[in-house]
Amino acid sequence: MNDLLKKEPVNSQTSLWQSLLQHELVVGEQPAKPELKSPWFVKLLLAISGWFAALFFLGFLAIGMEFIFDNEIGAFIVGTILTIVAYVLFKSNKNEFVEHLSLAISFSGQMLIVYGFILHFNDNTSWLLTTLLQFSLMAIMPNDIHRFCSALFGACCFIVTLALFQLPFIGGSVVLFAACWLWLHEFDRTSQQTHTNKLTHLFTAFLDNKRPIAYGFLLAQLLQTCLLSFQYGWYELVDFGLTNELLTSPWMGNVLMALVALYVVWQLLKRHPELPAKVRYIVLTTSLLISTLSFEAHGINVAILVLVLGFSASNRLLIGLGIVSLLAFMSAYYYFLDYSLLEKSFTLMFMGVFLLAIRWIMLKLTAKHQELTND
Amino acid sequence: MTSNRHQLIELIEQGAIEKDKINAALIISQVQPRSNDWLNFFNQLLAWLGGLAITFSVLFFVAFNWDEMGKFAKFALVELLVVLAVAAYYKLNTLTHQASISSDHAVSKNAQVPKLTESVAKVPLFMAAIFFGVLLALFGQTYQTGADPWQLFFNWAVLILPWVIIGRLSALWMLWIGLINLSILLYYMNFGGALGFFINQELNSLWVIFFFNTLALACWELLSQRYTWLSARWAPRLLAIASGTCITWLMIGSILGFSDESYLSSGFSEIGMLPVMIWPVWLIAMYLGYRKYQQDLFMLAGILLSVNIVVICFVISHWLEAIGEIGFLLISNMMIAMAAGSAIWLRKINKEWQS
Repeated sequence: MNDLLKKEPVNSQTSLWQSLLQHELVVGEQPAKPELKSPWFVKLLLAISGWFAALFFLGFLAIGMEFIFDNEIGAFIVGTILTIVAYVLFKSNKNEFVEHLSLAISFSGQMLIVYGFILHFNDNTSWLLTTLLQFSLMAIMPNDIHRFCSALFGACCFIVTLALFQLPFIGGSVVLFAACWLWLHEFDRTSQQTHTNKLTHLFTAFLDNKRPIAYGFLLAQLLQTCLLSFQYGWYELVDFGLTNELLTSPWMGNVLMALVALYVVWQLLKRHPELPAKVRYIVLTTSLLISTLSFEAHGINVAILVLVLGFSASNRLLIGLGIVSLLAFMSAYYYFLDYSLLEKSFTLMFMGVFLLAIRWIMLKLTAKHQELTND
Repeated sequence: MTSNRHQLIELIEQGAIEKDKINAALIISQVQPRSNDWLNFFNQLLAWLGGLAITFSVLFFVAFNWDEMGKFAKFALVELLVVLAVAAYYKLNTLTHQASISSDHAVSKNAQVPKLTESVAKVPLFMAAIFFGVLLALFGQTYQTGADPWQLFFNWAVLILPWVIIGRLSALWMLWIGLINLSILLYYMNFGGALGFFINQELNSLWVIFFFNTLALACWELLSQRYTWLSARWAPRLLAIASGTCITWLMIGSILGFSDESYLSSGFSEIGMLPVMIWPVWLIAMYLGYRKYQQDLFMLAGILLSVNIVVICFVISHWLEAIGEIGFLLISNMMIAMAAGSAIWLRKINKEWQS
């Protein structure tokens, strides 16, 4: 591995296969280019229009077939039928129109099932069941846009469910950890053997389609942090009477978030065995300090984490997401009411000077290291 | 142009690279950064983050309006910061030039980590541009000049223009364009209600914002062919989103203005037929520009989104009530067909460009 690092990397795009050949990482002829995939913004457009189409379809059902909405049995039956139809359609055809039609049908089916949950349980249980429904659909449905939407909604419902069951503030970190784990193992492949066990087969399918799921989880956590930084008491908005005593408090969420950041940094450091132990400790301590500073200014460590994860795999979409969320969280901080503007000003000044100092130390150390190696 | 990352993902998914060789392939293809790349990344990230944090800190400090600090002390503080930031820019800029000249002369054997990239040198200039606005705000806050809020942002934009021009930085230009947009919006809100810019005479602000951003977009695209530092795609995409949102909204207003529903049409009665004439021109110009001259799928997707929204809006406002419940089914299917059609068309164009 180390001598690979010393060799010249690839610069031109056309020669990727050639240079992989040179390094004996591939053999034979370059495989034919696979069918072109749509870029992320086209998929996003399809997802949003799928949801709107589903809403209109439900409107049609509500006016034309009112009886479905009368009781939960009707909603469950029609919802389940629609979801199964969507699954069969996804499986059967690769035609874009049918694919998009199944997306809208599945969304309508899910909404009907959730409507049934609300009618039947009328309490927090429906949130729990919706979470389970979304996560199962995420694993089952063979479509990337569907996986992304289910992961996003499932993770959002999961965070709310935890809050309703007296465990607020920690859900976001759990979701973020899942997203980070998936991003860190982005390029891992499960072995191609046939799977005897149904469960391992499902898990393999999940791992091989991890990108949309990772995006969904990450977006859910970013939205959660955004809510948290604009409206700190959003848990109170969700729960109409947080009367029971809470089992978790905000500091636990902050500590968990710091642990997730440490985990990511540690995993990334493991990819560079050439780094001396001293550098590792400095990097880990710095990331811990940044996390501690963002106990006050929410989300800054999350945004930096997204940026770093994006850079670790040349993922420009993730880097863009990190920059946008960083700017959003910084402006949200202005409206955060728990501290006065003066206190916030001092926190930010301290953070700015601290970051610049780290940069200065980093450059000094590398200059020294280079001098030593040159000698 | 497919990035190395995408090419590699395709190869891994096709099973062309064996499992235990994937890690090495990631390093060779530069998808996974090496230690030096990380150093470079943190060099820039920490400079920008630190600079931004200090800038926001000064902004919050002045906004707090602290009584215990005299007004002269505050003025002195912000003015000193402006001067320091400009001086820092000057110093860093000279250093960058010297570094680039010396590296031209002597090709170093080791891959040296560039301590000063051009982007880092521009951080203080960006900070100075924002400090200048803080100074103007402080002036207004202290002397209660009675000026309207839009004047603050407009003056700010005019006064930092020289720095923006010498800065040659996309982010700085976007700050400038953002300030102008803000002052246009505030100007019209000043003479309308708080929510005024959506309806009636305040639709004027939508027109002005539309024309300004479209002009900015056209200039950006023309000039980016000449100046490489304008080549970042995020900026023109943001401008196109601003321009497209305005004209699509005006078009929707025009459609609703002529609908039978009195509560819908009342708000848009003054909008007239002008959007119906301008919107198609905008569509054709965008299509030709981004299909032929500057190939950009994002922009084409944006045009299709605008068309989809306008058509659906027309159908909903004119036909929905007449057809009844079947109308909902029809619209639902129309949305699916139009979105799927757009995706197919975009893929076709993408394929054409790739081959």
